[in-house]
Amino acid sequence: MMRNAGVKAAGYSLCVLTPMLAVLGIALGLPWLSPIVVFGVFPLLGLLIGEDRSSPLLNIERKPALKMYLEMMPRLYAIVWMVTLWWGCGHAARTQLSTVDLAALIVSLGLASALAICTAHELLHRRCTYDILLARVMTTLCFYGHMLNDHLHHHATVGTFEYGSTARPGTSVYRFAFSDYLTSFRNAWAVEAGRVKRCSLAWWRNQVSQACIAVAVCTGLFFIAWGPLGLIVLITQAAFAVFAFEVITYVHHYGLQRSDTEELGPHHAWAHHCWLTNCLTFNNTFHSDHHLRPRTPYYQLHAMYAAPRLPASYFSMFWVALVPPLWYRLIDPRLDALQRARAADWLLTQQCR
Amino acid sequence: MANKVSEPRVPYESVNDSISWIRDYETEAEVLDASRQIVLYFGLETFVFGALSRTDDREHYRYLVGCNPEWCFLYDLNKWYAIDPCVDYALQNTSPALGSQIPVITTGQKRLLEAAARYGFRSGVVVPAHSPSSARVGVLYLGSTEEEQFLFENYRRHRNLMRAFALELLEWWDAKLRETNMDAMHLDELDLELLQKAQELATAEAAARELGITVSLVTGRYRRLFEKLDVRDKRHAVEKAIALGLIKARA
Repeated sequence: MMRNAGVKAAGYSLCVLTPMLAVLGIALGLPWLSPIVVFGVFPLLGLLIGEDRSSPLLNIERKPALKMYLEMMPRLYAIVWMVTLWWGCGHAARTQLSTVDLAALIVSLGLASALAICTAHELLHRRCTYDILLARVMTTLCFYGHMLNDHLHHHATVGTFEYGSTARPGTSVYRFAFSDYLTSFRNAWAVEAGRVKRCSLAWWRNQVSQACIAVAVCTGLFFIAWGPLGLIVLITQAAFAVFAFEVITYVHHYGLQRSDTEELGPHHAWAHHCWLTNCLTFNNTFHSDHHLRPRTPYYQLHAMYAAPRLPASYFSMFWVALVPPLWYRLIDPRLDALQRARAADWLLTQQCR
Repeated sequence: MANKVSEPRVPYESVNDSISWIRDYETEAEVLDASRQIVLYFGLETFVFGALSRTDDREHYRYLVGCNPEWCFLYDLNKWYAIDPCVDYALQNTSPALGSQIPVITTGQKRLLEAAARYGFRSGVVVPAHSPSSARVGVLYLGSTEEEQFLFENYRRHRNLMRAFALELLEWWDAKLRETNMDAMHLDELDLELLQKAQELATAEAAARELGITVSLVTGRYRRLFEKLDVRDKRHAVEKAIALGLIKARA
């Protein structure tokens, strides 16, 4: 169990590990190093280190150096990841890699890109125009350029099955990932088309159109620089990253329904307060708090103990989600218990009236 | 005409920078200090910047004073703002003008200019500042104790910088007023974003989806906003917010 806020602040610098592991793996001749560490070592280390009980870093206005460090961390990740991605595509194009090594490189880059979407998520909630622009560039490189608009839509409609992003109980992650990607695009388009029409703007002011054009430009740029193989690596790593991100979205909100009239609460997102996962994902596991206070910077989020708990960390639950029968077996009983508890609460409220 | 060109005491680049930095100053004292340096560069000595806003029922004036404060006291005491020919000029024109180009019609206006001459505005330049996103009109009075013929060349050379200076002052006023009104009415950034959405005629559902908050939060916030602004609907809230400088009018 980790309580020290200073250690936690230092721990955020671990975020750059994932992209660097991809490079290190190639340099050491261990191409699968990154996936092994992320899915094998991180869950074990997470178990050993234990829960995150550190205090959120509030009132740091008087510590400008600390504030700057915390604000810079997601930007640093963005730069390290973009350099790694460019290098990775170039390496694939320049070197005669075997199919297995190429697959390892794609998975390693895809993992870094999945965390890049996570980082872009932190940046897009900020008010600074440059951070939002950086988030848009990052999501564009992952072929998820509409995320900015869809994510705000997600915050408005979380817990409603018809708008996607919350999986109905009994839906497998594979079905969810595919349908949610399409739904998120439709949602983003509907929001932007509505705004553009309402404000009488030109078509190119539609941010989803801009994202599509940016994806085409990036694809062209990678093709010109690194040829067809570089382009294939870019596309496949993006597909892996988008899938990984959809798995995390699935894990975040699976089955937690909210009625139209119900106010958002901590019980609308699953949580697991693993210290290591929090450091690597900018406190993404404090998801309930994030939904209640979307503009709050990552280092000020905290655990909400009214949030339903996942049995293991995100990195472990990622694997569990990939095996639907195992996922249902582990999560559905928790979901039932949660619904029973909420029904009992509701009955109690009615009796007290 | 005998022209006298006063040599600038500070380099052009420095004044250009000083004008650009106005928006970053937090206090009136800082703006006044920088403005004095800029006015000296123009070869003038005194200045007053007035920001005028008009709502349905009344006019509001705010001043930044870079001259003898006694003059402002006298100006206010005599309610000269009601007949000031420079204000009339600024309301109807966008170009800077020399004092002699401003039409003076009434005896009251003549008396006003005679008094101004005694307080450092013997001759001068009037610079209107209009911004499509501001509900205010700015009037910058730049004054000199010398005859107008001596400042003509400086006016010709620095006319564009004078315009930029007046516009920066107007924008600084807007930002300051926005901050003051936000504090006074206990508004936060989300309130302003919601006012902008109301200005764009967004429904509560559209506003929620574009801002990433729930519809119930949007409707609750609008209810509280109406109370804080003392209005009954979104249209009036937007009008009041523009008048208070909280949001910018759409061009």
